[in-house]
Amino acid sequence: MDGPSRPGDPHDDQATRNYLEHIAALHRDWDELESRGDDSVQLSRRARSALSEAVRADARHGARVDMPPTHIGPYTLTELALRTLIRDTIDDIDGVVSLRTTIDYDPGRGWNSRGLPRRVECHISAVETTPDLPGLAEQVRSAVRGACARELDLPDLPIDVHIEDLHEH
Amino acid sequence: MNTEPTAAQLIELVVAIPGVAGIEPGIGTSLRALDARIRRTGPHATHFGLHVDHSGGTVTVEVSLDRSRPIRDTVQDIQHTLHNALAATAPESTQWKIRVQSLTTN
Amino acid sequence: MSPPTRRLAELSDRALALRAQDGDPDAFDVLIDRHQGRLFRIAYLVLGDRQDSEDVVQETLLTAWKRLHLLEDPDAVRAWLAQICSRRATDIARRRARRATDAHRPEDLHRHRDPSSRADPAHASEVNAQMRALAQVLATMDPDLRACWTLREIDGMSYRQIAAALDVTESTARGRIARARTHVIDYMKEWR
Repeated sequence: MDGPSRPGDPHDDQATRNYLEHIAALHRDWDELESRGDDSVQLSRRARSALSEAVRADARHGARVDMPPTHIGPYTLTELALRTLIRDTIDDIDGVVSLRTTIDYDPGRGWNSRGLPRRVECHISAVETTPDLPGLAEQVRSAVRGACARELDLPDLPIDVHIEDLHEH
Repeated sequence: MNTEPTAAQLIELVVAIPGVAGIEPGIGTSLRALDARIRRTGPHATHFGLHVDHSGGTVTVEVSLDRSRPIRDTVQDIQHTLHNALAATAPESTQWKIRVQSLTTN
Repeated sequence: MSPPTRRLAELSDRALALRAQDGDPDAFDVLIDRHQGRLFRIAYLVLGDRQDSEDVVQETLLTAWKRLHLLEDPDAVRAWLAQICSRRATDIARRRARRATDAHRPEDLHRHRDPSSRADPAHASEVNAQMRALAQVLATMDPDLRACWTLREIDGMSYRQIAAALDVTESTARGRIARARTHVIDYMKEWR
């Protein structure tokens, strides 16, 4: 008899039978209270949503990316923060909308970490009236490279720009 | 008297730095904060978003930055501020682990 | 394209664990919903304190999210969560039991008082009365007995699973559960 306690074993004495029925009744009560959202048998609603929020935020952030240290010490950016920086930089250019950025990294130290960024791929949409698409791509490249140098002390990062789409003004 | 500032006080200092949008706790410091609460270890070492690890020689803080200044300048100021605040109690070898969790967009 | 949350709720623990390992927080959310109540009851019956139990359960689930990639058997996610939770709760209970018998320690004077105070009657009444009564009975027992009993009667684990979860032999688990049961049965006689 290796499953959870259940009433009905003929060798139990009365006290044991009462006990087992009592336990079973508790489960029925607690399960019902829980399904009704009663906080007396489970995490408070506040704790449940704080938990959920922490997990979602972590999923959004992605891995931690090593940055060149300041002269006081090391720091990291989340993948999310890094992509945000690049996306904002691209969006600030007239006639360009950032679609997607992918980044190659040096190997990280652990499962949720990445080494220094090694290469950046920017997928963008350009306004269809752009007279000089290669020139625009070069503008994007230069802006992103500049931002990485200025903000993160990551100069000379190889940047590939892919114009994937044209949009109306 | 050299009493170490509490985690909450350190956070106040960090949040006052230009370029810092706020503390943004990650799972790492959240676990430490929960652990500290269970152990009743007091308000000093840990709060959601900040953790002073004396034995490991590290100070970890998790922040969100705005775009008003270059990221590395803000980070350096955070490290500088914490270094000064903890100068009396943190050894020179202390590692400052600033984790930028997110950037608030313009 | 992810299925809507309603359909996620119909997936098995195994499927949810796999999706969560793949980085899907919605899938992990369903796992939270499904298991947090039972984990809370396990922690509370071992610890007897609402705030501590909430903290332990939050720790358990955050740790699980962080270490999901280490879970080799996605089928076993329920037992894995119960293991993390019960071990943590038991460690804390053991530590407290030891401190209670220590000579008075100066650092206890500076214990951090959580503002959501345990002494607050309104707070105390937030736990189901029967759970409270049971926790009081269990509090008279050794934490190790509490843990074994709780995993058996609250989580429905087999003796083998309990042994694995608490890192003891199966016969140790059986013995502890038998002793704990006797204790609870004795108290129940008095309730009548």
